[in-house]
Amino acid sequence: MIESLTPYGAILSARFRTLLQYRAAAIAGLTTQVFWGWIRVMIFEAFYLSSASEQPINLADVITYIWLGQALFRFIPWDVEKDIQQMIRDGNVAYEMLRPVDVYWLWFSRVAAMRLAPTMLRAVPMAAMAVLFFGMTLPPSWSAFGAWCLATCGAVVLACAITTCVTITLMWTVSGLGITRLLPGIVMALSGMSIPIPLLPDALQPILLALPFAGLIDMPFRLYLGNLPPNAVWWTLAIQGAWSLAFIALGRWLWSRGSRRLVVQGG
Amino acid sequence: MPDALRLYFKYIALSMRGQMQYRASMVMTAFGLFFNIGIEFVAVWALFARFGEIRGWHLADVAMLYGMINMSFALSEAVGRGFDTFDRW
Repeated sequence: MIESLTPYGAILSARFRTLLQYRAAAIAGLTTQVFWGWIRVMIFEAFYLSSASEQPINLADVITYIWLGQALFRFIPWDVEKDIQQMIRDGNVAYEMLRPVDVYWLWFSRVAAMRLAPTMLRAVPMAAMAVLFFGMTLPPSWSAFGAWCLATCGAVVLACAITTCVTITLMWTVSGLGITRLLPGIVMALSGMSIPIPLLPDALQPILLALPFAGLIDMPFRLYLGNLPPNAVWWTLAIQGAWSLAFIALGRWLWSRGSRRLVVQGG
Repeated sequence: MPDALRLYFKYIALSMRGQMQYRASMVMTAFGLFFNIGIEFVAVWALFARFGEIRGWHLADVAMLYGMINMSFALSEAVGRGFDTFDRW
């Protein structure tokens, strides 16, 4: 069992080390992230200061929510794995299929590295800066922190499952169009990345929380804030797990269909 | 200068014809942009629905600004964006 997992672990760690090389990109990204975070904080501040009515989440929590989002921005499934996209486009996907491993999990490992490495580089400095200078707060209790950690693990698996699935759809829309064009808008809006989900219309809340995207950002962040009680983590993990399984099943099914009709030309 | 301009318009025509080769993908790209801008605007709407107004500014005022900014951005992209990909034509 352990032995059969080694190739995927190897790909994960090799890709991880490759991606960690891009430190200048990480610093440039960090600057952009701070800039956007600041603008978003100002927008919410303006809204909160101009209205006296009670909101389902207070301004201090929204500010922390925003900085947490800026820190973890890179693991949200809003784009596809660029190397796989290139392989599908130029036909090198044929080599990938020759490897004596399950291509789905091979790609899942590639996607996991691509989601995690940039996040690891940026998240800690971003969060440290935000806590020290930009008004981000720490979780109110250790149990909130623990719940957030667990939910973040669930969110990472879900993000990778969605990304892998969408990457496989490139087998049909080779030039990287189709669903990948619609993904950023959908994910940003429905995960809470653009606006915290509690601030979206009340009538939509049950739907938004049942969709796969709230498990990426909103539910883990609200566990961090204590806006959801720590024991809500089990519900969060259940939703994330169910959607992860659904996306993994869908991804594997798409791959088996796509690889059967694959034609690689040239040589 | 006139020569450069003529070349510039040639490039535009070329780019148009190039994109028209993949008509479905062009339509999808256009729809994708439309969709993403639209969904951003839904976020703006949701904030106004929750907070009412922001220091005298209502949704309609902000929608106007939002539209103008998006239009100018799209126009400037259409006119100037191609320069960094000219060498590929």
